Amino acid sequence: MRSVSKTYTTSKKGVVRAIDSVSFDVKAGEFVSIVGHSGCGKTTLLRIITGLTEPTTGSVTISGKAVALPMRGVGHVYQKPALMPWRSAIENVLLPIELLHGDKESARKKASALLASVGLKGFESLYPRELSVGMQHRVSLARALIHDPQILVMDEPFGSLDELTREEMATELLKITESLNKTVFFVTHSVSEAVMLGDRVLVLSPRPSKLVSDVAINVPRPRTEKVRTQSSFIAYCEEIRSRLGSNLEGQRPVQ
Amino acid sequence: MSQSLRRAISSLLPPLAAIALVLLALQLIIPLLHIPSYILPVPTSVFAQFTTGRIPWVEHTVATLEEVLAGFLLAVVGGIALAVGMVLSRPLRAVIEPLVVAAQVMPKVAFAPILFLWLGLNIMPRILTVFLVCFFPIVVDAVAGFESSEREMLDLVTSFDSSKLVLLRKVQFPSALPSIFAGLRVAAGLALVGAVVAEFISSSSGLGFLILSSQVSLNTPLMFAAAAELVLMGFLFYGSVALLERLLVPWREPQHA
Repeated sequence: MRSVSKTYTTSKKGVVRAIDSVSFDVKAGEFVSIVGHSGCGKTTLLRIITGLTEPTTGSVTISGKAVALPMRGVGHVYQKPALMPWRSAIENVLLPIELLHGDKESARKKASALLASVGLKGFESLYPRELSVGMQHRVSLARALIHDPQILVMDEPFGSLDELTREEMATELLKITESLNKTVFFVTHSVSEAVMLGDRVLVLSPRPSKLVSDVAINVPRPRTEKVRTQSSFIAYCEEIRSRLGSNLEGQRPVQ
Repeated sequence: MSQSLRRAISSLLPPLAAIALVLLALQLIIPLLHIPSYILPVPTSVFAQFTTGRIPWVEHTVATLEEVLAGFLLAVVGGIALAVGMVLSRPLRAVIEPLVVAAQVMPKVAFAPILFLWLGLNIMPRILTVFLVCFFPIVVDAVAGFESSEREMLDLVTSFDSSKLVLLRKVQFPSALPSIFAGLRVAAGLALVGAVVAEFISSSSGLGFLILSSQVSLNTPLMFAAAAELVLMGFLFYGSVALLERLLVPWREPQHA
């Protein structure tokens, strides 16, 4: 296993300081949850990690190498499913293979298996508009995994879902990531999701975003959705909420 | 498919029945009010124009159709090509976009006489008049369409280090198709206007020519007949574009207009 490390220093966006001296290291295979209030620059941070946005100052390095622009082949899951409406579910999943000029036909089997693993067996040929929003999110998760990326970046993947679907998806994501051993950056504003899924939770303060705390979640794996009721889980949630809350004064959510 | 066909027919039935009713009413009322035929002919005498054998209908229809199709296709190819150019090149866009938007309010048919002056009395200026009226809505809607791609989708494809061309082909062009077709539908309606106006200015055949020449001889039934055929042609042309849209953009929810 390679050791992945990232270091940031200051980043400025225009005159506004979106992210202020955020530094952290991440080990390969770690699941890093990032929580913070709306508009605190979480998305910007992710875009910097993946090289879509250049940091004003500071740098990101992976395995000793600086991140090139843009970093190729990271698995992306967005707040919106962002599926192509003109492609069937399986064709959407196969998009990364196509863009990497891989062998699409041989990847088809894997795509079907991935769709099955997110509970969409038999839905391969349906178009996004024929799927529910929850199903569309699952397709987008399968798409993020098809090319076996080292790094998975999830930007509030369940942000637009209703509470029930959201919990269901989180549980499913837990099941999937337990077996994956990938480095995951998971941005959310649900504290319980962050704790349930993460090996670590990075707490960001509102604009300009600073790293307020870095909480290691020592809940043994494999975890199931039952961790939600464990006393240590609840304690972690409390701790993170209190860190978040201390920065809330006078802050209006942006976006 | 047969079900949607049946639905289409059943949705056409009421308006067709209404038209038939109006025609029937005209047929009965016009003689009662003693309206002369050169003002308002009865529907039967209008339809009789198609069967007299004196008018080469096919020839006139083909002439107008040629202008419409050639001008329209030219505008589709040119319009989409220019839109692609504007999306790929920022400087080109900065120069051209304001001009294209400004041209939307310009009465394009006003340039038709100049086109005849430049190109002579042949089919070319008529085709170009059609082209001119169709071109601008196509460009404007195509550019808007290329701009409408979801940011996440663009980010996703960009994150694979894809070129601008890949981005255009895989994301922007398909996302633009619904909007492109919106432009095509507007242009399809305008195409006939362009052709008829051009024929009014100079032509020796076509349905616009037929209307103008029958006006000179006060053959009002023939004017109505030619106008009726233009209406039908317009419907069919628009319908073909809409049908093409349904074939090429099947992922779009069917619209009820």
